[in-house]
Amino acid sequence: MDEMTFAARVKATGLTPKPEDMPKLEALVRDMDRAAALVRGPRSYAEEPLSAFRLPTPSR
Amino acid sequence: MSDPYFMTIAEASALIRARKLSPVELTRIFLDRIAAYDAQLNAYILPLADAALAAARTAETEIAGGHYKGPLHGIPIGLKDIYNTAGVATTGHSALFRDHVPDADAFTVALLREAGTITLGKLSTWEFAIGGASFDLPWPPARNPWNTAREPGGSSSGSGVAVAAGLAMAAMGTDTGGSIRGPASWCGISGLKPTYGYLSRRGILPLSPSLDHAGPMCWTSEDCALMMQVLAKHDPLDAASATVPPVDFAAALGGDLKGLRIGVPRHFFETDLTCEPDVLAAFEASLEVFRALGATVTDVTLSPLGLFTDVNGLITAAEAYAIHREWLQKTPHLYGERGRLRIMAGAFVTAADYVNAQRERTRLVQEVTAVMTGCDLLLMPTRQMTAPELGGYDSSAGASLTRPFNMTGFPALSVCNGFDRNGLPTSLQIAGRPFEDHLVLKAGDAYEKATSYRSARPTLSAPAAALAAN
Repeated sequence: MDEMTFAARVKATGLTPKPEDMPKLEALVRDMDRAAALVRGPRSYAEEPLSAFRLPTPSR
Repeated sequence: MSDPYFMTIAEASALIRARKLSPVELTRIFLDRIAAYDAQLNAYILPLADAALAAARTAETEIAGGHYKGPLHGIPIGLKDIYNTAGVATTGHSALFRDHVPDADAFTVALLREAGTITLGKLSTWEFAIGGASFDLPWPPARNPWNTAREPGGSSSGSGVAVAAGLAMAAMGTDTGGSIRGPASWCGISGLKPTYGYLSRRGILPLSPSLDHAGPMCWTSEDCALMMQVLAKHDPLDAASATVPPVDFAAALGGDLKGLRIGVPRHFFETDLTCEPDVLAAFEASLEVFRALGATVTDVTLSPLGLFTDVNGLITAAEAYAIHREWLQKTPHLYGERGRLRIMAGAFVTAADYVNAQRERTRLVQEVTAVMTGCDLLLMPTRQMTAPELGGYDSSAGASLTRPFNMTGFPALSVCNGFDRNGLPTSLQIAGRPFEDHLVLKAGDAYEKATSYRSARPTLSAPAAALAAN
């Protein structure tokens, strides 16, 4: 990830990390990007996210 | 009688019920011990001596009047400082929430008060339950009682320390990626992350609502069962709270484990990450104990541990950032570095990646569910290593043996299964099927009673020596 690109990404978030925070933040984001790549790719449209909500059944 | 501060709930409650042990005297003993020893451990952010003694006097009067409520009546406990307490600051160990005084108790705190527990105080945590041991927060990090230069684990660090060191008979923790089981592991105690939805999350500062679990941390699995007896109640105001028939957790304990089928995802700790040799040796010895108790042991295969870990990390980061975004944009200086950066990283998770992480999670739940049709429990080490140097542990780095059970929501218990060559506790993780927490606790209890590790406690420095060393 090049320095300018990461700085632009940070700016887009509205966050203002300290300059000394930037290398550690960039490392964390690089790891997050690597993790995100694992969940991309082909999936059936029918795959539900776990967060699909369930309404309680009415008590009778 | 053993030292009262090292008694289990099961031992103390029998004496309290028989009126051979006074809740007031017991509370004084713990408060005196906190005053003498906590300067070297930093387990407590805020001891609550006056309120504790008042609650103890009430308990004593109730019991003397024939109104004994049950095994938690008169038992001194501590609360991780992300549990809301009415009229008492709940800080999240953060300057941001230094003046946060809730109007009401968390649902679980209210249940514990109704059961007659005595709240000794609010306990240290990693800032907002994420990051790691930090030295740039308003309060110092907790220290491991087995070696105060070592990590106690986190984020329920004060809870693990207080229970192991005899500064509370039990404590409440929370667990989003291992925050109950991690400190239970490194402090050598028992800590249960219950099934998702078994315990209410309402009134607990959230980190990642779809992964957050409340749970008990005690010296023994039996004590965790006694806590669960009170805590496992439906909360109609927590959207995730389950409605399941009540279980007698204490009655489920005892007997042998004949016919119990244990699965071991050996690749988790033999190839997916590297375990310390002493941790591996303790684990293999633990399997022998379970075989001797009548269980059968078979290897099973799941997705790579790194996948569970990474997807958990994505979800945690995204959900935590959603909660903290306004504060991080406006007052980032009120966070410590570790918490600030970990939560900020969630700003970079896209909505599509978050949703796909939750879709992958569905697949992982189905996979573990299918594997557990062939076994009743999964066993593995809780942590691949014993406690590292304080401040040197990065909870975001590498694969985690605890996160699979936050991802799936299945119950998982950490118990002490020995000590390494440096005298630091090793640990065993026992995971079960949803709402079979009683079986997980039965296995932990049987293991603890078949071994001798519950008889060893950490030796603390004399109070004067500890003060001189500072």
